[in-house]
Amino acid sequence: MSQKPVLLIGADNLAERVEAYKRLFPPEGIAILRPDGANAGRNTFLGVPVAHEWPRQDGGLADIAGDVSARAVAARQAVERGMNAIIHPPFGDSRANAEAILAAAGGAVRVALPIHYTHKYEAAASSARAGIGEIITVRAIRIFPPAQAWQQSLFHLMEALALLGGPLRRVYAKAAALKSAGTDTVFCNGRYANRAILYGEASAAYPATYSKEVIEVTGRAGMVEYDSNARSVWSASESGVTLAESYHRTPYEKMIDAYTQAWAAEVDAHPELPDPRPALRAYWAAMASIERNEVETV
Amino acid sequence: MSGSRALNIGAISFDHGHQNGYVSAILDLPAAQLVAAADAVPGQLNRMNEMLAARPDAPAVKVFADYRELLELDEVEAVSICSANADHAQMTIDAAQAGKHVLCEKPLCITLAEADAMIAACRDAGVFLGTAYPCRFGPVAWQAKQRVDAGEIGDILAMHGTNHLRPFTEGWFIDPQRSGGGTIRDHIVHVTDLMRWFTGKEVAEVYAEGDTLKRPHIAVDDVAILVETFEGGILASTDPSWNRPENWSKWGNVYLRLLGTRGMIEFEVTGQAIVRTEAQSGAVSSIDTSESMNYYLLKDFCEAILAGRSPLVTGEDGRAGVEAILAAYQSIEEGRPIRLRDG
Repeated sequence: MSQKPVLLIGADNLAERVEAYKRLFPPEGIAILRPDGANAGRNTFLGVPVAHEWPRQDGGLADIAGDVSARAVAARQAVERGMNAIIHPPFGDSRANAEAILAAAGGAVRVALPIHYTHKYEAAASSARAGIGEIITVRAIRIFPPAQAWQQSLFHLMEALALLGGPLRRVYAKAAALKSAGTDTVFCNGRYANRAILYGEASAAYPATYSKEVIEVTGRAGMVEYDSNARSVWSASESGVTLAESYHRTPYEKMIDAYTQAWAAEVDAHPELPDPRPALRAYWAAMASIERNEVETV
Repeated sequence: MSGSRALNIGAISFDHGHQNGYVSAILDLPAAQLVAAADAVPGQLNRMNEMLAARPDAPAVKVFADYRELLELDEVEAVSICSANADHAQMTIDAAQAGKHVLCEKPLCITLAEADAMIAACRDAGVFLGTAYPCRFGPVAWQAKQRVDAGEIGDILAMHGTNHLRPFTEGWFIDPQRSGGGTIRDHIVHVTDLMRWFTGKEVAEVYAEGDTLKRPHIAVDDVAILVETFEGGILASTDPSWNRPENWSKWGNVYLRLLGTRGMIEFEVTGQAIVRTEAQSGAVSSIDTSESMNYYLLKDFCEAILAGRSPLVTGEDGRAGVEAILAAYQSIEEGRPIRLRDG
């Protein structure tokens, strides 16, 4: 286990991220970095120290989420300090910029791809690749209460679609602010490189008591389907806490573990690590489609 | 309900299997009487004959090969048309000119010009034209509509619907000359009609992806997904694909999820079903446990005609489905969203 510092930046899914790092790293090395001075009076949060400046010690790991427009800068700052970084997408201001950031970092920055480490998506993707024939349609629907920037929800939708059906060829996307001042819902359809048709939907506009996650892959010789509302685990109590998923290792924990092992092995292009480019390219094409109300080539 | 009188109905063409469901409903309905049937393919009347044979009180049904002979019968007041799509328009116009009310299977027809001619012919003849969209009469859809109309979820903001089916591999459904298209022609109309019914709004813009991927050798599309905008900026999407495996436990589904300003509601019209699995044959099938939507479709049609009012689902509703179909095909051909009216 590394004795180097682990810094978590940004509030998105912070509890889940902190928990994952606590299980993988010595707790005394983990800190939440608030370089903007927010919560200046707070010394600890979620059981870990709150730091207000980057560490002087070289090396370590930065896990970067938060303000979408600030992520690329934070990643560059981390790399300048000799740190590795896990950057939560989206980041940068264009597809070219995002790919340039990754190229410049030379493997020191890896893109967080938690969908790739979520068992139902892994299982659906591997099951679809084995035994249902050539994929012809994919539907991915992700309806959750608001917990992150809508751009991040869109990215994870594109990540799911790319994982399930492969690289996208084109996409058409419509976004709307249905319940919020800003965008909270995206519908999209399009094509994969193999001509299969895709549908994606991400929304944070539904009532807090409702969520839905659909994974559906149909092939010429069968289909794979998952619906979160047919849960294998379902617990509801008077506390209002529901349990609809169950893990021995959370997706974040699996992802961070895989990335840090690859860094430890000094493997720049670890063959078992997922390639972020299909999701990044699909994301930027969807953003352009939303902007122009046109079909965009991925 | 108009007293105890029953509407005398002729069943024209059994090309579409739904006609057997409508005949079954007619035989069950106090407000309907089956008096005649016509089909050029004798074997297609077998199921009707079985249903009649199973009923000791079955009416005497006159049978014709040519539907025009059925239309000459004075006792026929209305007809149910379930031919291949390409024949809907001519049969409807002939029926209207013979003074018969018409319930026409979906999709209403192939072109908007045909739809306009059908509507005009019925209007000019003083008869009613109904489109057979039975999903409105599914118990869950009906109850969901009542809840939405009562304001339970507020104003509708977004919708997603599916109408999946196992693939067609033969027959007129995959003959583009007789069907006018595949899964888009056959299946977006149910979901589109439900969306129009729930919102009271029309489709404003359509972007569609469609192709022939499940059975690449057939001549019509069998997979598709539409992203749509309805009037008022309502976001919508529809998956009408014939992409289910042949041994899927259900014949298909009709699912709709509605997001409103104050809540959401979702339902599957065919969701109330028992799944039956046979070990020896490997057969898997579903048995619908809900009340028959065909029965309530025919009940509304017959009671409306007898009361001298239009049925709930009109020819104009059928035309709107055709408009959405044509916009989807145009979108696929031109690779761009098609705007039908202001959103």
